[in-house]
Amino acid sequence: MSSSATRSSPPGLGGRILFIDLSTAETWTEPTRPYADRFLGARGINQWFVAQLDRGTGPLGPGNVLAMGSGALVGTLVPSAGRLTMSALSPLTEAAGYSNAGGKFACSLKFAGYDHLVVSGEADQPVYLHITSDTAELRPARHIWGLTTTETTTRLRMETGSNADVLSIGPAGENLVRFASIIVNSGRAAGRSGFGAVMGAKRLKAVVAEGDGAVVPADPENLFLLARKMWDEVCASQVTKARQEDGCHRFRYNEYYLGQARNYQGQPEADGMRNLEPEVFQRWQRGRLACHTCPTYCSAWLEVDTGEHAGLQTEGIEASDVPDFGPRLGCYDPAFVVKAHALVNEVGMDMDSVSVVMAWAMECFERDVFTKRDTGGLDISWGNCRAIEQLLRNIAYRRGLGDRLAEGVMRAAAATGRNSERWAFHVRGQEMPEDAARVGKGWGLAAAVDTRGGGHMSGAPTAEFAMWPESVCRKTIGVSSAGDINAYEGKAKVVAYYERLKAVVDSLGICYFNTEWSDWKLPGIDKLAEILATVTGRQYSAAQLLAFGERIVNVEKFLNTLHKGHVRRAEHLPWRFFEEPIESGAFAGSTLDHDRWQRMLSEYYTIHGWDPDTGWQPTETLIAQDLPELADRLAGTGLVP
Amino acid sequence: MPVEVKRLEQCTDCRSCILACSFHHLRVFAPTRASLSVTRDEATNEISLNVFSKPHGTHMACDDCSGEQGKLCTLFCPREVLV
Repeated sequence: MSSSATRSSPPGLGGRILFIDLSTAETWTEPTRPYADRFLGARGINQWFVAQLDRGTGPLGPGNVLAMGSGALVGTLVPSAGRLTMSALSPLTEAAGYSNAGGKFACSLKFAGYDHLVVSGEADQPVYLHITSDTAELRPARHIWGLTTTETTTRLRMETGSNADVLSIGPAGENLVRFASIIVNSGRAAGRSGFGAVMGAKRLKAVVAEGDGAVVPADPENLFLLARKMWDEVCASQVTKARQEDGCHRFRYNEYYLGQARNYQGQPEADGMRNLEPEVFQRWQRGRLACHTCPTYCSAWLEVDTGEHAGLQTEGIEASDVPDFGPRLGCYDPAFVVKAHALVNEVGMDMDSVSVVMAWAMECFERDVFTKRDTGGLDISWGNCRAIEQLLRNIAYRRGLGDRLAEGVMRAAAATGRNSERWAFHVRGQEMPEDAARVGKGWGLAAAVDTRGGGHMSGAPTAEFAMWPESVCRKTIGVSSAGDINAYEGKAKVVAYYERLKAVVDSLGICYFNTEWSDWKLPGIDKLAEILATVTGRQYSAAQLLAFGERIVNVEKFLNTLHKGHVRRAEHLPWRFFEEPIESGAFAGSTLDHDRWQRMLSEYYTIHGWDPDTGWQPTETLIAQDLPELADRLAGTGLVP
Repeated sequence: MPVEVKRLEQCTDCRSCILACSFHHLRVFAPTRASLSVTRDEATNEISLNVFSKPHGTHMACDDCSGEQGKLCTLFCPREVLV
């Protein structure tokens, strides 16, 4: 047994935070416990390190930090407690960012004795970092620069002689594509916020982690009982069963389908959508796959057996793959969906962002803003899958028009002009793939105020599109109208609640799918507090745990104010959602009402203790959140009134 | 009866069995001490699951979950790969 396995760590923790400055190759550690007591874990602790950066720090410069954290429950038998959250200044928003990945890396990091890895500086030459329980070593990576993520994973496993977990970037990250992803073990993506470009800018090709240590729970017997109970609850959920049966993509086309076609310009084609039903992908399944310690196994190993992509094998697909590489681009070819999924993971690009930026380019093509002269001869008409596949590669390698698209849709539209900003869908610079935002009022609000911009994996309520009954909404969220998809009333409270919950869930290191966000019968904040106590020994009430979530959201909000001076008008949705109604289906005629939306936004700010007129954080709110340092720094910038 | 790998093709690579096993032995979570190991080649999806009936490096020998109410690895296997 190595020294690490016997090293005394606080209950539930790896115990240390590993810092590495790539400019100097210096490494050092600090104990995790004081940070955990203030910011809980993963996302919470990460953001505190990002919050130390000065205003004006460039996301792609050596001053940015990339913090990776395993959550407080990671490494235990709690279902799905194996998630990793990353945080840095985002190359897309130049402000707050976070991204979350499954797979196995978070557990390996923790078993190596580290709860977090915080990378700063910039290496002269490509490097990778090899972490074990006893060492943290930078090694040359010139020989693997340019490889895909699977090639990198395979190569580094051979090179380290281990079964280690590998987190890497592909060519897109190396080429500083602003929405480049970080890929865990070749199949799991930290997609949002463009952190692959941050790694690329730092010339950090990969991190390899293997540990032989232990996670020691505070109260093993009760943890075992509670983990087992949660396991049974997860497995009993009908939503889990649907994911086990269908996979992550489990949505069938019907009149309630919320996906939109051709860059939000219309309804998907019914005949085409039949090609993209879950059953179509199931025929290519060659096995099911899960993240660490997760009974849901919502992923699969696929092998396409027909057509031009016959023989293609990959892990997948995600729920977002179908809207991203289907109707949004006018495509209805399931094999292309699988091909695009595999390709973006191999080159390391966020599927959501690249879909939105390509949809913008295709609408430009439709409106003659772009011609074949601009596209290098590619006919990027809606549904031309072969041209889209080539465009994906051009973006990853920054060839031709791809170079402009690699900057993200906000910057590409600004560089293009000709009114094309009108159909560039983003929030504060991050692409917005939220088809449901025009119908679900809470969903739309959440996408607009999401601290990283434009996503649903924070405050957006499942209750809305799943139309939970009033009694359930009242009991679970405290808002009886939460399940009324058309209602504005109460949605500000719902969104604020889920923002806190998600910040906690990310900081615990479990999957949102296995919580009440996904199904009201699954564990909520009270049960998570009970489980946390058995792991770390820290006793928190449900309200205290949610208070951690509120503090974390406030740190991220601070980042947006400090670095970009974002005010209320930056927390808005694209015009099409207010001006062009849904064409047909159960939600025909739906748009967002400007006045009611603005009132909802004001209410949302008030709930968080932020100024309802400007959206800024008053000093007293930051102090009440035990963030006096941040209050002082904002006051010193003259950014707040 | 020692633990057996019955349906490897059903394995999802979740590795819950490993954590459950180390919990049985030590009341901690320590994969390198478990009586099982799981590896997966991401390029081919080849999964390998081994049960150690004798000590193997840092891995402890499977004792059929002596003293427990049931074999913990099987209790936490979502697809009955282990019996």
